[in-house]
Amino acid sequence: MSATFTDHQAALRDEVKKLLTDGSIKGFIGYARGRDSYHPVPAIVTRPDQVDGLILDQFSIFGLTKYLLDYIFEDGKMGIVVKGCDALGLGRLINDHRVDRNKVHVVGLPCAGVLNGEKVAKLGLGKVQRVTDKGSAFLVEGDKGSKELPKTEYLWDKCLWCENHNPAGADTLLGSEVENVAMKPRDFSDITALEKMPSAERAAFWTRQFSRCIRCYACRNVCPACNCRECVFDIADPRWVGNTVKLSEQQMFHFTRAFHVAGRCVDCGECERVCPMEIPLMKLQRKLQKDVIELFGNPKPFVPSEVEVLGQFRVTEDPEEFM
Amino acid sequence: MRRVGVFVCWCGSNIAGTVDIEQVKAAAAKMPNVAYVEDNKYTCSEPGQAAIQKAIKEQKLDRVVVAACSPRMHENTFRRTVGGAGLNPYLLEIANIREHCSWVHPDKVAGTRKAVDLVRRAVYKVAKNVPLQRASIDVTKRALIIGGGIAGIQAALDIADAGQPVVVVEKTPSIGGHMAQLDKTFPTLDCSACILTPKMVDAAQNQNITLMTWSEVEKVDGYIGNFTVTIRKKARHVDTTKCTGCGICWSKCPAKVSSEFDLGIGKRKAIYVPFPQAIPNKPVIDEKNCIFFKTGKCKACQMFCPTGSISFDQKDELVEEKFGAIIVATGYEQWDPSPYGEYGYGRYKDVITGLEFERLVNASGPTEGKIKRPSDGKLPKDVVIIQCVGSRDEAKGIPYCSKTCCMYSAKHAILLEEKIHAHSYVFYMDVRTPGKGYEEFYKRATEEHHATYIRGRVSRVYQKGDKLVCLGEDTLLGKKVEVEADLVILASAMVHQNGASKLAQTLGISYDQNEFYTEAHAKLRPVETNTAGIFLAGACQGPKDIPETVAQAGAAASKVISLLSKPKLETEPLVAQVNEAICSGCLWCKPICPYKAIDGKVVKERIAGGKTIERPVAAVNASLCQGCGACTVACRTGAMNVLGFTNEHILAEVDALCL
Repeated sequence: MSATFTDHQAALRDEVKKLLTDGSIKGFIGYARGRDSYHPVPAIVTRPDQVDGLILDQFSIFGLTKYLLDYIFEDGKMGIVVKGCDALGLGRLINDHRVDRNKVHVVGLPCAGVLNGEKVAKLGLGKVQRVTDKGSAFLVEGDKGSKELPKTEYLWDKCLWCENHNPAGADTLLGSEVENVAMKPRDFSDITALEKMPSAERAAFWTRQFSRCIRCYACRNVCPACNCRECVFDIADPRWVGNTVKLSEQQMFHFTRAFHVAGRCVDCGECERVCPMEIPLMKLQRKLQKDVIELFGNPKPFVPSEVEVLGQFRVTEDPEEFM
Repeated sequence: MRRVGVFVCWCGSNIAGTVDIEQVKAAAAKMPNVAYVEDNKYTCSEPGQAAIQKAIKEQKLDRVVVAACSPRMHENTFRRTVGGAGLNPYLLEIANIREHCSWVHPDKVAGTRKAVDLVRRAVYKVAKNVPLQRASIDVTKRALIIGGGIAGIQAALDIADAGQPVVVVEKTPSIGGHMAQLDKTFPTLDCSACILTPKMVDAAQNQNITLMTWSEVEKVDGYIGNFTVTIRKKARHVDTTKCTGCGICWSKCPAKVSSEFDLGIGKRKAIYVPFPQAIPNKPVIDEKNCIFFKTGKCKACQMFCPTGSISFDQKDELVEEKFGAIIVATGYEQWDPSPYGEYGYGRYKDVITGLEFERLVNASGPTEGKIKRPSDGKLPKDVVIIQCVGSRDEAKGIPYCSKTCCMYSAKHAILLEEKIHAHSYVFYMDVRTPGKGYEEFYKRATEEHHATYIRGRVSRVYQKGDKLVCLGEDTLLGKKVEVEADLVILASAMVHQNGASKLAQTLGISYDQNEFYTEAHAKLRPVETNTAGIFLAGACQGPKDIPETVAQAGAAASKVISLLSKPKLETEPLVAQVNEAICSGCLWCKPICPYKAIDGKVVKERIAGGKTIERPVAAVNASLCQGCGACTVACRTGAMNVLGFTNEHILAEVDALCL
């Protein structure tokens, strides 16, 4: 039984107030209350008097790291709160030289799993008063009722196989580290099932998915691996992919994005979560993760490392007999 | 609107035989930007090239498409043609309608259709071409030769003769290579040492040649004209400036080990020169076998050395040297015939390889030239020579012909008969003698020296008393043959030098499936590699005999001389270029560049609000870049472009072919 996010809220506010007051950061990226208690939203504060608007609760799923790109050319540091999964995204941005680690103050949030606000909202518990970690479940007490929600049912999928509960390399850690074990092993059975489908059936499946795409680019905008200064889909000349809503263009967009992110995806699942058309984008990424694991023997392709699986030329280890 | 001229080549009947030239011309005339179309029997010939130049002037062409053979064949030819008419040489595109079309498509209708497609691709692409300029770089007027065998020695002498300094790096203690091990050389039977050692001495005395024996190339950086090479000078433990080569040290050394130079037939000491004519005639201490290095006691050599040259605490030394060109002359190794268990090599002492026989018959060898068989020292009367041991055998050995074995086997048969009146039985698959005087030499072995040639393979060799019974088949007579021999010589294959692939990776040159280095073009660029400034000489490229090796060494030397005599070098402009405006500076291109041509740098720019910021971007070293394009693929934004093959070009080609 770990502390919940809410237990760290006061400590976070104190820390941010201190950092803003002594001038060590010029702004802080965190969460604020959204339309209800199940949907916190990203918030950026720059003055100590705004800090009390920052919240932390067990629904704080949103990965905030992409907002750092708005500040890379500013003087001074930005503060940010990151969970284990977000820390991988931050690692991606740092490895790609898009964010200078020295210009970020990282507040780490140890995480035993984030409740899926979409699911919990439907239970009609009303405004949430308190969330308590009961080990295998979260007790959510609302003003219209309370319920014990088994983690395996009410957490986001990625939390179940998460092996990065504690953000690595944080400047300040809220509370103490939590036990770092996956609730269940990483499961690729849905991907295997897709692979086994006859190709016509599989094509029909993906056509069904991609035909819904409205090219809003939310998936790209939230993705920490999609961090190019100028996205290839925004470049007018040469125009690789047209920007009309047309199946072939939509497919081209998604395939190209999948390949650009292959071997670089941190498995945060944000692309799929933010997709307004509910396209199962993580199935594409997880297929590529599975391939990287199987073909390159890298068991954790979603952890950014010094040497990237798909970003190297090591002729001495080339299994080909001749180049 | 461009004015593109399309020149369709017949290549005699090579193209015109399976591609309808008239149809290709008619289709080309209708393509966008095409102002002029012409066909020629041989576009690469003088009148063909003159026709292009004439059309450029008269028709005011600003772009040229040549529909002919592979660009690897004549792109440079036509670039010169176009350049000669005043156009930028890079405003040219080749449509390969020979290798990619007429040669592979017997169906004329389909072949013609494809030829039209290929021409359209080139027409679309050439419209996007922009003039490119060659840059010039300085040249370090100094050559490096890796390998001090006959190839390396010859190349060094030729380059030094032209007045240019050259360094020879040799991994063994002496230059000389395999040729120093041989007794006589075919087809003239002059003594190998008599023709080699004077060259070795010349090399040692030449002011322009620096010999670095007992040394190896560790690292190669840089590019044509400007290589930086790290050479490991292995600890010799002998001060070569003091040593006079008197030989007292090795006569006093108590550690006897088998000699690599004599292929284990003879012995040497732990402090040794590999052979009496070695150059330099200065010994090395073999740390693995030296008693002092093993036990900490002995130092006999040091005690007796009259000049105080011996030092046990010498360490390997790394030196960094600059060169303008490199010749790789690392030679070959003899294949170990152990996989042929049926021949009993390694099991029967009297089954030896061809190279071992060379040491046995060599006057400076361990038996002083007496052909004593290894088991009991008796002179053999009947000798079986088995050809193609390893060669031309994909199952157990190597797929290729080692080229020298037919001739050296004939030589062995002649020497055996001449020296000790021994009779040779030569088992062969084919006798291949395509060289000047070679067929005559083989005839001499059979007719004057009575060697018995049996067409067939030996299936088994076994010991019977002090004889080796060779069971085989005479496939011409269709009969089984059994020969009782006193000595069996296996004409073992020539294979790549140990570590050939590793050196290739260090140098950044390519090699084939047999680990022989690959020439840039089998016919037209046989001594160049695909890496500019690196050349090949001798058997490191494939099996070769001495005359061929010497000829190739001379050819490689002449390439180096011409390279080093230029005041400046022109670089190829088809290199990667960064669009800094959109580059994110993620540097995914850096680790994937095989030529280490990419690094990061910081650019300053003013952003909205008038503020100046600094951000990282990729930077290409145009001299190192070979234009392979790996970086352009790794770049997600498309900020990386290979000039002449930009994203725009590729899209234009795709449009031409698919729309």
